[in-house]
Amino acid sequence: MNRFKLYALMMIAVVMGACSDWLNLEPENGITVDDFWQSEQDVHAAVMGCYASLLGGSTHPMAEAVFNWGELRADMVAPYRAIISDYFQINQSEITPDNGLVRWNGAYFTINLCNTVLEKAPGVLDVDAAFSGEKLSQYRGEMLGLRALMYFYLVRTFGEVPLNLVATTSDSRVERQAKASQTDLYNQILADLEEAARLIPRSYSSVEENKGRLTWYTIKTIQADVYLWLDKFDEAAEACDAVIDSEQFSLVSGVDRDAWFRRLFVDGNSPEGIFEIQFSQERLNPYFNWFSSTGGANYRANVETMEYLFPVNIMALPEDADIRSDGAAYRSSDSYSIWKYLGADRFTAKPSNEATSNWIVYRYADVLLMKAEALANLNKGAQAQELIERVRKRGNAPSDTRVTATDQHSLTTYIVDERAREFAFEGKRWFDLLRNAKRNNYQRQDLITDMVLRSSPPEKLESALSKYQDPRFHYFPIHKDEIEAGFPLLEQNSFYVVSE
Amino acid sequence: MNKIKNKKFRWVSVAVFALALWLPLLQSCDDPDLQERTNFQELIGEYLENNPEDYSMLVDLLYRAESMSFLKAYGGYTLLAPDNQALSAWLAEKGLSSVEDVPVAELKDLVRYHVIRDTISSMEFVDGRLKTTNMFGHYVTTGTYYEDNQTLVKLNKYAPIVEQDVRLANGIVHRIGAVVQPELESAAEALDNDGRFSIFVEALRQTGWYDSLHSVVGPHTVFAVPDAVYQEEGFSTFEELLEDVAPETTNLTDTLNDMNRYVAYHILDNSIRYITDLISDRVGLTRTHNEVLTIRMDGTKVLVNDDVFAGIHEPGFEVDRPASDRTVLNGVVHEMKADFRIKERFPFAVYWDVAEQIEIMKMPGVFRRPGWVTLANGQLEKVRWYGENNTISYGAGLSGAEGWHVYDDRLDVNLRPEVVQWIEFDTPILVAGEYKMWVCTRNVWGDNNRKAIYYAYFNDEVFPNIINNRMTLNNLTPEDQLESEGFKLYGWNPGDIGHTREVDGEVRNITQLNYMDNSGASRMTGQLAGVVNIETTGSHRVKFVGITGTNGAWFDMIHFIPVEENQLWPRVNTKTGALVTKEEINAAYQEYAASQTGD
Repeated sequence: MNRFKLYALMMIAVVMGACSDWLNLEPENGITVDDFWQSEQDVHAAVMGCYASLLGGSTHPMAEAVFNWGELRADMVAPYRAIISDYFQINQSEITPDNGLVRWNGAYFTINLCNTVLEKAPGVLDVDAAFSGEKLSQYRGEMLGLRALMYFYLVRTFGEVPLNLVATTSDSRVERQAKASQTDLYNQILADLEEAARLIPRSYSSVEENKGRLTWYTIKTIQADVYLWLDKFDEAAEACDAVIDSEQFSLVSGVDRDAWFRRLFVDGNSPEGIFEIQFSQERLNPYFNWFSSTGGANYRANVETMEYLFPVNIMALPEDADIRSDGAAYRSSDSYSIWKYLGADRFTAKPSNEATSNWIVYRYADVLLMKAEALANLNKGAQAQELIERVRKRGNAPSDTRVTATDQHSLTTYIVDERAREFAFEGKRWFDLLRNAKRNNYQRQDLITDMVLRSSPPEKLESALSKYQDPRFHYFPIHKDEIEAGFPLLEQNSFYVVSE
Repeated sequence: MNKIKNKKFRWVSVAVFALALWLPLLQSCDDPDLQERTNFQELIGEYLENNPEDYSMLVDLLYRAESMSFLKAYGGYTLLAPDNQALSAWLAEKGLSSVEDVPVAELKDLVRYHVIRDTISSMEFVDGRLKTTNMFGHYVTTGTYYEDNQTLVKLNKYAPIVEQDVRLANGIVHRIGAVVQPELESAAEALDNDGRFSIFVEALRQTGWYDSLHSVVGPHTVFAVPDAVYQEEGFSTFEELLEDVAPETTNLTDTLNDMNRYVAYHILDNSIRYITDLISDRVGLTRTHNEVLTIRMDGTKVLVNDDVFAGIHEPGFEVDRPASDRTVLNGVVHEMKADFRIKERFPFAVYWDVAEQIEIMKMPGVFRRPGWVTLANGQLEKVRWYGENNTISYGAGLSGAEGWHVYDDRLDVNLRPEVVQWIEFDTPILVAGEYKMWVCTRNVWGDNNRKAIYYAYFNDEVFPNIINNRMTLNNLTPEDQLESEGFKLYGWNPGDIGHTREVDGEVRNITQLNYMDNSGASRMTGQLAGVVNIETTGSHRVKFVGITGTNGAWFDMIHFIPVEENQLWPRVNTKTGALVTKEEINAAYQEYAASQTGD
């Protein structure tokens, strides 16, 4: 099994040595490209390197951005002792183009590597007779899928970003680019996913690879997510069905709450996992240090939101509580630490050298709730309720958080809340709020207002509410270094341009 | 502007080059980059002069007000810079054609109003005042507004910031689209001239507070009630209000008069508090003798006197936030959406379970369930202690000590100079009056166990008695003797009802044993800290400062009992937390004894 991880490590070493941190497009002049693309092994190593690039190799790798972009604007996390100023500013709704958390270089680093494989791998057919066209197609599917996933993160976070589909393999090919429109970006994402779905395998040779590399199921899951953002509910439900009907995935049982926590989050790569960014003893995750209270954590759970999602019933027995609440998502007696990435079980913390929890990008519960969201918007409320109930039942959700209504408005609130309970601190919250708030011309702006009420410091509350009324503020600014490098083509999000 | 800069730069490099040619001859080891100035970053004054298309009028104004010099010197300033458009509009409004027509004194005030001796970037703007006053001595407020699909920051609610955070060598410039007018009306005048406050202003006049708000420097913080609100509440004239507030009154200027007290309750005691200040203060001392008001935020609403009092929620009165934070010459004026009155309260006993902290109560499976949890400093809103990394513990249940703590739980604090030097609690709301304070803890006799010994403080004033957790009681000593020594048994454990003790060959039942089994009595001790005279109704601070001890202090309760009331009874039922009288226990014992003989 370790071939996979070994390649990943090797590739990251190669890649890291090569990159210069200039622009968003990394030229590779440092390595001898000609010596590399000689065999199938080289192609394989390069593909593995693309996954490995999610972990590092840039100042803001995707493994960090998935949390930062998905959680920090929203109401699940709160500042704690070792507060970092970039987050403090986001929490205060004072977001500026020099905020380090808005750097996108991690995403473009991976995109460029994908582009490189897409461009170079076909040439290997000529030099390595053992390398087949079929194999090439499979790798191509993976690369298109991964690139689409990166652009999907970017378009949700920044609104509009440059669309770069050409490898920057030498300095001479570094290009300044203007932003592409949301429509163009989504069209490209959908086209890439469609092609990827045709090419990509359904499984590889090991569990780690099945969860750590993109598969046909991952592509379908991403498609479902993209369609939800585009309000194409029939297509979203159809993509979810492809995953559900395959019967390749199941919810990890919650009957034994300790086993559930260990299997799903501590061990990872469970039957529920669809795509997980892989961490291991050789490569520890960054989350442990962010959340561990022993080192003075950067973040903790926002008590107000936790109480909203998991209302406290003093009289209830601990065993009647939602298994996803105290002792799973957070731990109240450990200063409301973000326990999902800290706990060895529900009560004891892991030592820091066991920070091996994967980052779960998608899991089966997500597919069920995405389908529920699609159905809720297709006036199929009763069917949506069935799916939500499956997830809630596994989570032992008590009746005080149950909603029985089946209309679109009530279900939207319910699903957004249920997703927060289910995917607490898994990088989903802000995207869930924005996606549902903006639907039908910001019909559910109230979701964002409530979020601000729970998370803004009182002295900034009014300002934050005003800013969040401006849809341009729902997207991050482009980092000032990128703006300078892309001058004059790359234009800043106009919200962040303060001048006449 | 760029061109100018580049030209200058080129000239400099030529000069430096020429100099460098000569230098080797003179002194070969000198730095060739020798320059007259430490840097060529622009100063605020230079920036304004370099951008005449935006600031030519401001530059004129600054020279006329003799204020340009300091903006061209090093320092740390924030300049709120009205651009040419803003100044033209300001002049037009005054009917003048040029800055020259404005008296220099007025210009100087205007400049002082726009300059802050501090560097304040937009990052530090809050929904309220800036952190530092301008050179005029007033706070300028900021707020963010979403209007016409644009998000705008406005100063004093009307002057929009057009370009923010221009960082220069001696500070920050915020370009503004309108002149910030100096507020030259007193609080009284501002309310009077506004026209919407005629009843409130009349009340101020009649009670003599108008003069205070007009001529006294203050600063004052006023909660003004508009006529519309009074009308809604059924008062269309001052007389009708007077009839309701103080019907039997003649001398309104007497500060003990109800109307006078009512008006004074709407003014804070010589302090300037904007809404954000009030939210973080949570309480304000009013000009009515020893009366406070509380401020709470509920969602986006700011409420006055929204309190839980003796366990009952009393709904508050909303502040009209958009209309509030109005700076006046001698303070700030807030506007109410509903009127509030002084609550007449009388002292009553508070039996306070210190472990009842909202954060602990919200931990499922923890509160009042057997086990211990560690609490980090900062985790409890109303308890603070020494040492950022020091922890205290909350524990419930305990073999060998069950039943005698109220609800069987307590806070365990390593109170001693080497660890937690001190711990401070915010009390529940206490009504002004004179109380005895009892510290109720679980003690262990003698020095072997080295339990904590500590001082007790009330609002930073030390009590006469030292609290000694090595003192224990005896269920044979008469209660009144214990009280005279400063001790009491404070609990009643229903589980004790059948307990007996043989004394001199005679079996005594629980009613003859101070109503407590001796193993409870020898531990659970109420100690009198002293008498405290609470002057203002509200939450106060109780602090314990460790003297010695290696074994923690176990805090169960603190009692505040008015001095004239019975200090010993009622006690607290340790199972239910309810108060229980001697008579009730006697009756319960009769029932118990009857059931025993019935067997």
